Amino acid sequence: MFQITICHLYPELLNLYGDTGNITALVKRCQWRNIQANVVKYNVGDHIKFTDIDIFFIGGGADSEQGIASSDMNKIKPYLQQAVEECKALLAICGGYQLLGKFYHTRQGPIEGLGILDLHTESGEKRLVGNIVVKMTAEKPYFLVGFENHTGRTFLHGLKPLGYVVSGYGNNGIDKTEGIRYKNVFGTYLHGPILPKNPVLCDELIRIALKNKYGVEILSELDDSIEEMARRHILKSQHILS
Amino acid sequence: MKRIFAIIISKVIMKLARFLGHNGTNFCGEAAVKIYPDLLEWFSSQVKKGIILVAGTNGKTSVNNMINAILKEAGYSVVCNELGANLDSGIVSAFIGSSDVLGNINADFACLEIDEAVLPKILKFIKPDFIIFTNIFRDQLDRYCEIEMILNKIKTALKDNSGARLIINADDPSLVEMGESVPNLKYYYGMNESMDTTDNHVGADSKNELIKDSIFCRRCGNRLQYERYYYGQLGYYFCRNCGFKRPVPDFCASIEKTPMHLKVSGRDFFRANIFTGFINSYTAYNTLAAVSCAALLDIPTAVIEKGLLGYKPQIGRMEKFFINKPIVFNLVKNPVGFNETLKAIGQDNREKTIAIGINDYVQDGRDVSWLWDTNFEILLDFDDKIIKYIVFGRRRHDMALRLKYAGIQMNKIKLADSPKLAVHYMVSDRSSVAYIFANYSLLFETRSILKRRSKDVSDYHMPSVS
Ligand SMILES: [Zn+2]
Repeated sequence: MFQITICHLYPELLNLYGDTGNITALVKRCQWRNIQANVVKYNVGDHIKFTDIDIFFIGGGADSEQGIASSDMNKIKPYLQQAVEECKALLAICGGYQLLGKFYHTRQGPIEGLGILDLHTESGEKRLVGNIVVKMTAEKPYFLVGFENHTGRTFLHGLKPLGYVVSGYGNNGIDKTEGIRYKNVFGTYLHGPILPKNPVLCDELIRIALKNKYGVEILSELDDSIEEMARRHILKSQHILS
Repeated sequence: MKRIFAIIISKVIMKLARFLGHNGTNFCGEAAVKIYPDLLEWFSSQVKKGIILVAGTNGKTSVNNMINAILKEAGYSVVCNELGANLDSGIVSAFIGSSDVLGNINADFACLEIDEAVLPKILKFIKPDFIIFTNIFRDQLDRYCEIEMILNKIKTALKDNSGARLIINADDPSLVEMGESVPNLKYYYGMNESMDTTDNHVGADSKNELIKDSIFCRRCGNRLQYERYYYGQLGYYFCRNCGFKRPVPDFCASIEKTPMHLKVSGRDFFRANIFTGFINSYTAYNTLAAVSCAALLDIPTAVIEKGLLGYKPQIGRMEKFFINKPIVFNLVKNPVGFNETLKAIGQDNREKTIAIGINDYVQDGRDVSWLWDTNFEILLDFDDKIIKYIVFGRRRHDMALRLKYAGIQMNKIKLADSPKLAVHYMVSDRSSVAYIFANYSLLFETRSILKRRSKDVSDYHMPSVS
């Protein structure tokens, strides 16, 4: 039996907008395929063995909580950096995504990021809120659907985005990019949570984990009809499907 | 002149809206405020004895209506937005509803529930005598951003309202921290002992893990410790680092069994026993808040007890119907409330059908991610007693998806295209009781279907969960 370990970073601090659902989706979609999925939580001050982790997940939080997380994150930065360079899977949502960048310019001044990804974020005036559809640029085209809710505007310094905005705002509301894809790091503003409603992305993370650990690349098919229906509601409401 | 014009216009709109069968009372107030912005100041200055505001995420409609019932029992005339229209326009509407065309009102008290995000704005026009804070949980974040921001705005607004006395839930660390940072006079209320209906242990396993929005000390950022934990972030908390802790309440309560009632004790030898039928953690807090306020207004104990006996929960709060089987209907709007509701139905041992309706209009919150913050895994504990899950509303697929990932078998989940069909499915299966939940914009339509089809049952309500 295959076995993978998922690490939820700062679940007590960064847990806005149902994003814990992403962990649920990863675990369930492993279980339905008879893959054992273990979840390790990493909170401020914890000690875990980072080399055992196959998939990392980090969500978003309120400003003050993001501040607490970011100061602790500097301590685990070397482990995360190593994981990223070893092509481990990492999904970062909203605040977690911003923290991986170089800095975040708030109205109170700049917050140092981890600098793992070459991007930066500035705080904007208007909050960018609403349903969003993104066309993923990876191997086969796929519409990511979700909900965004952020004041930060993120700018990529030449890195590849996760996809291009079809409807909504994305990274900054200007250049039509959304999220980032660097090695096996996926950064995005899509809440919702993203994985249950975008099973292709969820399976991609699992596939990467299995490939890294066992050299296996093929995942068995699951019945995603209800996932498809939920996706279709958003695609229709954004006039992408009729 | 402008004032009279504003009042006449909105009175006409109000009549018209009622005629057309609209329930939203926010609309006519909106028109009136546009024409005459100082209307709130004008109205509130006429209230003779006192203005009471009720704010917080859950329970404000219940608390507000309970206080209204007590004040009326005491013989006072009261202006109250009892239907729960709690934006500024709804508050204007409540005043207009009880004024003459010249804008004169005859009221001893005004008790008004206010959306916590609107409270700072309201405090510019109304100078309340008391503000009750029930709790602060996550609610409809895509409209109002984060809790922290709301609390900061309330703090700022309170600094210009230092005359308002605050009645604060001592068990909620976010509210207590907010109270401590403003100069106002404060009274605290809190639960006395462990409550049966809640998880009482700290660090519950992941399956039963609840949202704890502010388990971090708002003073120093350290993790809060809980000596006793109820739900959400409510409990007996303390901070090892800076000494922040639950204050000793001025009013406290315990749930007594056989016969079930709420025993309240408080400052100045205040004692009351409240019999309102079924009491859970929610109704206990709501009742305690209302009783504390009434006691501070020097209302005699006997009047408080009698007033609450006559209190009827508003629509869609554990409301009962009968179509082939007993049906319980409840409004759901946020994770903490939904969790408590799910736990409550787990105590019903009968075979049941559960219907859940989720819409995503602005008044519901366009973001349905709160369904993933709700602990539907609670259902697994009594899934063997559930015949069918019916999902309806615009986001029924999201709801079905959430149930699937909670571990519910897909063949037990049925999609219904309309509330009417959902009710039809619900009443035609073999279960002996049905629970139906809906969020705000589905509330009135669903209720009218239930009402139309329901056999005449007594007007009995179960107390509110929301
Ligand atoms: Zn502290």
